[in-house]
Amino acid sequence: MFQTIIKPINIAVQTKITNTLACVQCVQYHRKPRWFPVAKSKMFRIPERPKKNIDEYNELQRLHKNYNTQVRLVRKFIMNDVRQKQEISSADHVIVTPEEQVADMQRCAELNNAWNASIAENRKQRLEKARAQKHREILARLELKIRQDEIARKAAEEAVRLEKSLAKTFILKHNLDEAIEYALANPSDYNFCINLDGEILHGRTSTNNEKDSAVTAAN
Amino acid sequence: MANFAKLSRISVPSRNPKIPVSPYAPINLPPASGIGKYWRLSAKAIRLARHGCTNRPFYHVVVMERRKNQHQPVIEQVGTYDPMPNEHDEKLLSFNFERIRFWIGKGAHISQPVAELLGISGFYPIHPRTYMNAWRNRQKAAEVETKVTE
Repeated sequence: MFQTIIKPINIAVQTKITNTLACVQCVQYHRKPRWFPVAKSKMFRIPERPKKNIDEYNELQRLHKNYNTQVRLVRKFIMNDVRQKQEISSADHVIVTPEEQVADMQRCAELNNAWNASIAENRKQRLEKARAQKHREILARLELKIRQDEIARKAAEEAVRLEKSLAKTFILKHNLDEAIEYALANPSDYNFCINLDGEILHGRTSTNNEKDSAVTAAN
Repeated sequence: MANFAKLSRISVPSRNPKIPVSPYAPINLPPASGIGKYWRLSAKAIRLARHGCTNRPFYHVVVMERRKNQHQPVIEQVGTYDPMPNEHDEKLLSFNFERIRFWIGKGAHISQPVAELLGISGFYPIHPRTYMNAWRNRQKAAEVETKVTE
């Protein structure tokens, strides 16, 4: 039962095993659990009592006696002092006459008004500045918007022009038959091969091979 | 104002989103500003509350109800104590003597470590344990010296 919680042997012991292959030693990383009985080897062991130094003990007794007396006196003194101070202090019950109260109120109001005035002045300046800044920002944004609109308009016009130029070659309902006839009449074959001189030889089925090869030769 | 809530590594729930939460604020610890509730006649104690982290102790000197755990909200913080010596070999300690006087006047108990510190700082009588540590250290030093000379 005790074996199950013994952790793996540590590195030092492992090296020892490899060296001697004789002594296997288990290292416990923990204390004996509280509910385990006293080990048999410790059962009859009498722990050594700590030695008492009589002189030191007497000296400590004397010091403690003195200390306790002095502390008691100091504490009594402080307690009395604190109590007396509490009795004479007016920290928790301030006595003020109505005239004093009014004067104090007046003084506070004056201070408050002066402070308010200075803050109002600051605020006015700050708001003025912010307004001017906002105005500038809006103007800049408007200008930017006009420029962007102009660019977009130009782009749209360009696109329309391109479409119009392409529309000439569109196949529509009215020229569909014509286009089909043309396509059937002129089949084109894109299969070709190249010989060692770089000449392009066109397809197997198309009829206009000569024409196409002439074109590639010209290119 | 920097928005600390955005910077914080772990999202700290704040009741008021307008109040910024420092990213370095302890997450599990109550604030040292003194939100602890207490009874008027309950036993208070001036004692150390361990802050800091693993292998790096740092203490607040706090006033708390004596029965409460150190990590619960405190009534008031009245000092700090850094037990690890700094580069000048000093252990830094601060006390708010005015408030300590007040709380002693109210009958607050003082724990032994705080009593020792108060003794060294001259507010209280020197604690016997301070004397004891001193003479034991002297003995140890003398023993080491004799060993070296031999």
